[in-house]
Amino acid sequence: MTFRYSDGSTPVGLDVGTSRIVAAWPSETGYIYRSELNSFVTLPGSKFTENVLRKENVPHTVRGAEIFVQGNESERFADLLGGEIRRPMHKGFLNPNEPESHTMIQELIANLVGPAKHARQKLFYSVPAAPPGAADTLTFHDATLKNMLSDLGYDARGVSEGLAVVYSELEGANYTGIGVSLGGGLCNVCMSYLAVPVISFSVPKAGDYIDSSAATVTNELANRVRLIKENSFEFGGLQQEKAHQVITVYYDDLIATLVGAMKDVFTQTKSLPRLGRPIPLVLSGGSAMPPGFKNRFEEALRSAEFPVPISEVRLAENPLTATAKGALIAALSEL
Amino acid sequence: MKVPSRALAEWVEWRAGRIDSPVERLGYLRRSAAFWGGRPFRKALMDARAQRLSAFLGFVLLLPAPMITDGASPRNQPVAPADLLPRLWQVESASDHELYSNGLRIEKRFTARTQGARPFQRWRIDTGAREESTEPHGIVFHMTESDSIDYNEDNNKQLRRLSSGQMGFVRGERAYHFVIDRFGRVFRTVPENEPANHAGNSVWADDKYFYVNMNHSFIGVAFDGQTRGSDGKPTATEAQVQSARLLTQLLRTRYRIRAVNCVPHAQISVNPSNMGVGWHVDWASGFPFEAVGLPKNYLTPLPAITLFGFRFDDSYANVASEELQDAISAGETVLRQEATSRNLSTAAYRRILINRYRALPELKRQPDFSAVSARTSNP
Repeated sequence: MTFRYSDGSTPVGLDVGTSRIVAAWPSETGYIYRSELNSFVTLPGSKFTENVLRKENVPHTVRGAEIFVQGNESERFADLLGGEIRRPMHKGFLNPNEPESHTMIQELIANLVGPAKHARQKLFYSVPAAPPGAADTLTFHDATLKNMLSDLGYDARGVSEGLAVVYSELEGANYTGIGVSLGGGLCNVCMSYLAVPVISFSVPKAGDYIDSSAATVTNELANRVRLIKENSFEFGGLQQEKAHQVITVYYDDLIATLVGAMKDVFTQTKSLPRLGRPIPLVLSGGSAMPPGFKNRFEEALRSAEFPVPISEVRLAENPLTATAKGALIAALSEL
Repeated sequence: MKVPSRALAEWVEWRAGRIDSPVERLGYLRRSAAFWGGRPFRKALMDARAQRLSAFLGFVLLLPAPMITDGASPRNQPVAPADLLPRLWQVESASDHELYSNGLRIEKRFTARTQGARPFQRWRIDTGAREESTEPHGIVFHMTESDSIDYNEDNNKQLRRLSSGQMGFVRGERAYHFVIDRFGRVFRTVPENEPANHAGNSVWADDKYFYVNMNHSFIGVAFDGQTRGSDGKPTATEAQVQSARLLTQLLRTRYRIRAVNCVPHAQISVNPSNMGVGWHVDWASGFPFEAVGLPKNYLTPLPAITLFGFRFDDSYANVASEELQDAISAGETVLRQEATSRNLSTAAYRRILINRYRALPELKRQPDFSAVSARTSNP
């Protein structure tokens, strides 16, 4: 099966996460990914700064008296300037308190995937599931992303983030199992039965919650906490550094909330299919990456007496790209 | 989107397990999910039980053709484009042709002599009562399966000569109502208000009616060509497909024919002597539903199996398209489930259905034209 259109272009998978935007394309040997941080910083406008940024190939936009530095470089500049990065998205959805939200995310996506080569080029993008009892929150977010991508010329469709994880990781189980994506703003959960999403929901507590809560306690910037969390944190043993101790506390709180919500939702769902055998659960997303996280989560799941028999809990092959890959596989399956 | 029942899921999973490529397997599962989830399958069966109706009603609620939806983000199914028909009118009528506002031109020079109008018939699923009407209820698409030569400019003369010979033969046999030759010309060979000998032993159903031996129920439209050409694919030309689209528009508009009742011959043909489906296999694969403006009716579980217990064998399964194979298996699954719900073995329930078929008065009334398609292979 060829994964190319006649002009050589391919479908695209896009994970639009609170903290990162990841794009995926098929290649001859597998998949290709590109990612950008879903963030930006503003710098005071000046010809000198502008020239430096241009010389350094830093993606930026000049608007009025301000320069907007977007994507991966925003983190470096925020650290340099001792300020916080700004986020176009908050808790999984477009950030209602960020006036530049639409513009910035549009530019980030355009830089990442570029315009469509033709009107039939499929692009499947991830959309979060609504938190339990708040289905309406999704509509605006989904419609806005779809419009942005349609403006770029794509045949764009949303795919639930948890389902994308299932599509990426559970082919061996005929796409039956539970996908959990622990991102920056949300934890998305989806139970799929033979590729059909049976249960999808999100929990509005994830990596950003850990960063901001730990930052308050440690009197650090949230961005710094995030860097510590991503670069040196791991579960288990005696935590020497205060930041690590605090991060552990909030991670445990996150796991307890997530497992509690999963237990509640799965217990209350009346139309679960009769599975016949235990199903796998796969964890993905940046917040699932610290060493020891999987064991911690598995322990919590076991002690909560989760109502669905689980055959194994495992980490996605590449937790940062699993959602984009799953979205791409969904698009490819329609070729 | 709803998940399939356990029995169906086992079958879907088994089929999925035979597909090596993860992407193709996902595509298959999503199409299956759209099919099973898009129809109120379980509800249909439950309703049927609640109303104490027979397996007929339980099955036929499935019949509106399924639409493939985006499994990624389930939404309400759109209205099938195929059901939005343009307004059509006759622009011109001459002694040798008719012209319609959608561009369709019907050649009349091979039309058989009229034998007088006959009513079209159908049977109510809930009561079994026979009804007559002046209008046909559906379209059966055929392939003439005639010997052919390569479709290219060098063979123009021979193609035209073969076409004329074919039309003369079809007219003599009153084999179809319309034949579309390889250049896309549409010939009326039998007036639409008279039966043509095209369907032979056959079974079909929609949500209210079933149709048996359908010469007296459906219009027959034949493509001149072969279902399996030298490359294993149908030989239908683009011109034929375009003409079929225009003709289908006209017939559906004129006679208010539902999209679910526009089906290839292979889906309706049965052999009562061995109670097998697929006696004729023209258009068993590759029928261009979408290009003809129809939903993919290959996906409909075969009424011959679910209503009357017909069986299928490997020779039919081998030539059937993947979707039609799914429909065959789905029909078997429905039959098994109905048997279980009646505390009967599948074999016992099948015997009841077969007896029901054999008791149909229609079978005693209508002659068997089942060999027509085979005969046309050597005009």
